[in-house]
Amino acid sequence: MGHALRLAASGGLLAAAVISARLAGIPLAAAAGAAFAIHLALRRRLRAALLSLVPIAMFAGVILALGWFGGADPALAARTIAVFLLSTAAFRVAPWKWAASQLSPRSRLYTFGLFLLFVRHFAEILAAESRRTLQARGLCVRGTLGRGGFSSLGWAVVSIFRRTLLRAERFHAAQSLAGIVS
Amino acid sequence: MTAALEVSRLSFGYGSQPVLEDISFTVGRNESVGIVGANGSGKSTLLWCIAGLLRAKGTVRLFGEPSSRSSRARLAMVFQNPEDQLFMPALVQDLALPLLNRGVEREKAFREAGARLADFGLEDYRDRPAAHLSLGQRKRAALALALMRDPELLLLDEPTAELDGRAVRLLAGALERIPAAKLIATHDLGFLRRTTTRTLLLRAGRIAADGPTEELLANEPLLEQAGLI
Ligand SMILES: Nc1ncnc2c1ncn2[C@@H]1O[C@H](COP(=O)(O)OP(=O)(O)O)[C@@H](O)[C@H]1O
Ligand SMILES: [Mg+2]
Repeated sequence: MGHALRLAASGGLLAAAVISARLAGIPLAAAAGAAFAIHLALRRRLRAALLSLVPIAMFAGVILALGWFGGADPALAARTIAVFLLSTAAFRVAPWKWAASQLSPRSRLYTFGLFLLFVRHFAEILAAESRRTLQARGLCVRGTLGRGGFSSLGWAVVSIFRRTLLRAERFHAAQSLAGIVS
Repeated sequence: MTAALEVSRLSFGYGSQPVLEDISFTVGRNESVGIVGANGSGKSTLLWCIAGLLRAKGTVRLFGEPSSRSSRARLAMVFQNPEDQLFMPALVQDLALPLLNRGVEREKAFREAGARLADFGLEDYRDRPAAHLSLGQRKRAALALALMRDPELLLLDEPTAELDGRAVRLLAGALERIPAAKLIATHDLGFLRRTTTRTLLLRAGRIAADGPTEELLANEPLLEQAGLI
C-alpha cells in the first residue's frame, strides 16, 4: 500500500473511532462488528487476533459490571470496544516510516510528530514486554488453573508494569541526553 | 587545557543503600580510560551520574565547566541496554534526528546518517527499525548514533557485552579513530587492554585502584579480590 492510501485509511479509521463514540443501538453494534472484522483482517492469524482481544474484553466486562450495579448505560462497553479496535487499527495502518521521514524541525508539526513517535515507541515497549513476560511465564507454568497458575499470572502482570516503567525511564533518559526532551 | 571530565567526591545511593562512595578522578582530553569492576560494583551508576541522569552528591565538571545542559551537550553515552536510544521506524531516521534537530538540511542529514551506518556495517538495515536488529547490532547502532553528535566525551557502558569476536575487533578499531575522550565501563579485560591506557578499578562503590591499564591487569591478586578473574 502506498503511503497516501495508508494515511487516508488511518485518518478514516480515526474518524470512525470518534464517530462510534457517539453511537448507540444498531449503528453502534454495526460499528463494533465492523471494527472487529477490521481487527481480524489486520492480524491475519485468527488465534493471535482473538487472544489480543482478551485484555480489552476484560476491561469492557468490568465496565459492563459497573454499569449493571450503578445503572449506567451498557452501551458504554460496546463503545469502548469499538473505539479501541478502530483506533488501534488506525495506529497499525498509519504510514509511520513515511511520516517520520517527513519530520523537519522547521515544520510546525515537528513537536507533535515527535510526540506521536514517542507514543508509538511506548506502545511497542508495552507490547514487547507483555509478550516477553507472558512467554517466559508460559515456559514454566502449564495452564492458568494449575497450582501457582493465578499467582504467577498476577506477578507476571506486575513485572510487566515494573519493566515497562524501567524502560520508559531509560527512554526518557536517552532522549534527554540527546537533547530532544528536557 | 582543562580536563574533559573532573569528578570529585561523588557519592550516590538508590534510596538509603549507598552504591558509590567518595569517587574522585579526572579524564584528560582525548584520554581513553577504563572502568572495571564486578557485576553490581557501580559502573553503570557512575556513568549515569556523570551524564547527569542521576543526581549525585559531589561535583562533576565537564571541560572545566560545571555540569549543565550546555556542557552535557558535548558528551554522548551508549547505554548498557541501548534499545531505547533508538525509536524511529527506520534506523537511518534515528541517526538523522540529532542532525535535523541541529538544523542540518534533510538531504544532508540522511546522507550522513546513511554513511555512518555503512561505517558500522549496518547499511543493510538502514530502512528497518532497531527492534529488528540483534542485540549486538543494536549496540553498534547506538554507538553510531552517539557519534552523530560529534561528542568530545564518550561514555560507553559494557560496549562488548553482546558482540561477537569480529565485531569487538571492529569496535576497538573504530574507537581508536574517534577523536574524543572516552570512559569505558567493562569487565572485558582483553578489550580494556586494547582500548585504554588507564583504568579505574571499582570495588563495592569505591575506587580501589587507578593506574596504567597494563600495570593493573598484571596485578592478579587485585583483580581476583575485585571479582574479575
Ligand atoms: N534502579 C535501581 N534501584 C536500586 N538499586 C539499583 C538500581 N540500579 C542498580 N542498583 C544497585 O546498584 C548497584 C550497582 O549497580 P550497577 O551500577 O548497575 O553495577 P554495574 O554496572 O557495575 O554492574 C548494584 O548493587 C545494584 O543492585
Ligand atoms: Mg552495568
